[in-house]
Amino acid sequence: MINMIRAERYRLTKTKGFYIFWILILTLIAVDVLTNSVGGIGLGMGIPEGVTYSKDIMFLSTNMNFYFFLLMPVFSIVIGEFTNNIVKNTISSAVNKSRYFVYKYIICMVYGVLVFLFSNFLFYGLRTLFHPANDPNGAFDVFVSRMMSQLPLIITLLSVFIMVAFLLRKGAAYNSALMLTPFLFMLVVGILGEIPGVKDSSLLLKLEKYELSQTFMHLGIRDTILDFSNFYRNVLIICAVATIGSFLIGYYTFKKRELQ
Amino acid sequence: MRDVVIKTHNLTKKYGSFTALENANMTVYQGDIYGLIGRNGAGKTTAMKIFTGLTEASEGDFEIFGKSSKEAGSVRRRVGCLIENPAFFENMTGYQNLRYYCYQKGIADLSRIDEVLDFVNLENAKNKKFKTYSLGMKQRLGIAFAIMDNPDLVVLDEPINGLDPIGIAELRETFHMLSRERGMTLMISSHILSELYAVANRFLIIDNGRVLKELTKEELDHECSRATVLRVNDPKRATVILEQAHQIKNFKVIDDAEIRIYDEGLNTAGINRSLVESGLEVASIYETGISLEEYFKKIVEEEGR
Repeated sequence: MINMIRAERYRLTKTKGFYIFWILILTLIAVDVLTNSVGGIGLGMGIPEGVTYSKDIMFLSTNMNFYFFLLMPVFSIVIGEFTNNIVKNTISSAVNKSRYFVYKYIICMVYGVLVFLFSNFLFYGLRTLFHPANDPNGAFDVFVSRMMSQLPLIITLLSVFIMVAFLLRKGAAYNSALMLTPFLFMLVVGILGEIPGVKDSSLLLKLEKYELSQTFMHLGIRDTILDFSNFYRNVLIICAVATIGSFLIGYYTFKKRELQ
Repeated sequence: MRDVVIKTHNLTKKYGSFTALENANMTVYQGDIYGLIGRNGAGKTTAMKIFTGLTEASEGDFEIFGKSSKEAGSVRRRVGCLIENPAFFENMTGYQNLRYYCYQKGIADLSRIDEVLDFVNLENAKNKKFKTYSLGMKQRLGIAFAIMDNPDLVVLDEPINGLDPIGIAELRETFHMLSRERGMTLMISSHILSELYAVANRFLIIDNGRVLKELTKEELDHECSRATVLRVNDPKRATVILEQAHQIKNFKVIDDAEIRIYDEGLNTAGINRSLVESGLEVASIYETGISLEEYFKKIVEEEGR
């Protein structure tokens, strides 16, 4: 495992993608801090009017950004080795297929979670440094607890990304499938919302409520949803099922499928 | 008695309804340069993929370094391989690629990289990106990767493909050096018979997933060598006459009508006369001798019948 981590760390730093990835993240944080604002990708309903919070909590509410950011490390770590079937070198010389999947899964997971934590802490730290008086951050412990409540979502996303990467094995297919999914989801919800009878159905309301960018927002701000504890419990259940399910599907599919 | 490195027991691999390898039995001994001969799609790569853990056998079993296929993972570090085309990270240099695998395999001594690159004559190109390498350079980097961990067994699938004549000659010498100086056992596949013949000391002929023959270089030489074929009604009596009247000892009775004599400069007229005078019916006496390609073709055709 340690060998695989060392190897992966060495390889990642030799790829352009690694630097582009960090430039993007740092640029977003720098722009937000320097302009004293928060910006990000929101696909759902948006923050309700009248809800105002400190910028650090508002930043957490836009953590849907990480859906798109975290596509990149999984791409680099997993898809990179499927290109030209390089993966056979590792499986024939270092680890078997089962361990290969598990090691890659752990490496992606650890790297992705560290990126998430580091970025949020960096934002909080830089805002504290640049805006100590005029527009201060909220309490640190509140920030940490709300950020940590989003962590299961990040872990689930990473797990699904890894599963998709092992299933599709092609960069173009991986990017297309995962980049379009949130937009397709919103399109479907939007179409359903226009159909009489379906418009006010509980299913549609649930789809809107648990839509990814909405979930990030609710977990960050919390006041945007009634009965937060019930909502959070449901999110944890969905995350647990999706994480375990995607791990098992990815593992068994990769183990059973022949390498080309 | 040499140690057995690989031994298979009715190894079979099926992809759906297609049988890529069928009841294959082979034995590779320590120090062998073991050549797998076969046409494209014969099952050579499949066999190698099974030995290196890239795929699993559907039926049958194999032992590698005395371990069963289930325990093969524990001896994987003793095997270096290059299966199919050499594939590495295109945007990394040859050196960086090998360094990545050094970390992965836990090879602490990074000077091994320069050592193996030097061994395969890639020292001057080590800082060039892999995507700029010629096919020959890629093959040599693949071999460097295979021998980096100083393995006991090196499995190379079609390593001669795409090499120019000088590259082939260099590679041939490399194989001999690995075997002679480092005591490595090599398993090499190719469909270029003459090249494999120049390198290997034992051969496995394989076609349509079936093992047709396993033989040593001496046996192959014997099978392909020039000979005088004597077709006679009683080979047993004929051999006595050959030994006693003509002092011929280098012959082989092929079946109940054919003897092959491997001595050269025979007095065929004299042999014919003495056999006939002894009351034997001589159907024909003629010279034969086949190339490796002809021999391979013959074996494949015989099996196909």
